[in-house]
Amino acid sequence: MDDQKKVTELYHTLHSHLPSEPALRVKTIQSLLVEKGLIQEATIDSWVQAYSEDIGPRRGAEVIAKAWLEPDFKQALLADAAQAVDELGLMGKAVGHLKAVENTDAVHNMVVCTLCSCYPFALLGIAPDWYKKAAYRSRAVREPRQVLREFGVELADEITVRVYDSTAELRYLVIPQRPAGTEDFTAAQLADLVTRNAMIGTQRELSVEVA
Amino acid sequence: MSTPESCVAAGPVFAEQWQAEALAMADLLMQSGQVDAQVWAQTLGAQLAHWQAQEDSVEHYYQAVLAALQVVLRDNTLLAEPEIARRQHEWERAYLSTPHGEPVMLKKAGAKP
Repeated sequence: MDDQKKVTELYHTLHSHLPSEPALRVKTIQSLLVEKGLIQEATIDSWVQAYSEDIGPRRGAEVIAKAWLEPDFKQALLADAAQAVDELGLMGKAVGHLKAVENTDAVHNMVVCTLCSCYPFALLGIAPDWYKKAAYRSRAVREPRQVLREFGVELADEITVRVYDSTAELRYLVIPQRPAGTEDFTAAQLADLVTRNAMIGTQRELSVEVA
Repeated sequence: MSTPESCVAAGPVFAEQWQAEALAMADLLMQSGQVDAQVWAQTLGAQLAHWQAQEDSVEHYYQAVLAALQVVLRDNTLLAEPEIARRQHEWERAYLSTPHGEPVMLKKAGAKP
């Protein structure tokens, strides 16, 4: 092996220990913000753990199940979703307001953030990958029926599609229709039926078979 | 585009730790009022337009998050690029001079490398 090769190999061995450029940059920013007292290291760690493991769409599903079972709660949710959800202790430290929109036989609601990726993540967890992509963000408003078709939702022509554009100040939660044949279901059984996509509006019919 | 997913997570929420940490820092800065949520949305939107024009992927989404974080830190005079570049260089040296398997620590300011 010639010297040049040895040097190259040594370089690669050393650099293989280096984190990727974005990882190193994040570590750098984090260490500076912590040092300046702008953020606590433990707070970052607990945020990451919470959103990696604990906070997911199950929270939203429980809200939907409660709305199906309790008409008063549904009215409160439709009137002021942030307050109704906050009273359940599920709003967390979310920034901005929340609006619940209800699917009916005549209306299907669908949520997007055309600007960036605003999403009620204190309630639904981190947004799914497709929600963050330019393809969905740019097409959901322009051709919602086609986008829904790609998610497997065939909408009859007489059903109106309403697309809601989330902002930093106002996010949306879709209340899907309660499936038929679930009259005897408990709140937990109902919550099991509610999918994340249904609460964003890229799914319309909920299956009763998973319960 | 995607198949419907149930509430059961279909894999890790974040592909890489830095992605989670970048988003955490942005959210925590908003929660503590050090960064305005609308400014964040505008800044992230501008960065997404840039990054996703190159490649519409999750990796580029988080690259945009990281870029937007640096813009709001600079614009709010919380942290500027020269300081970040200097500290990143220190981290690089620390990684390269630490034997594999040992914890990587920054040397105290002023200490000889």
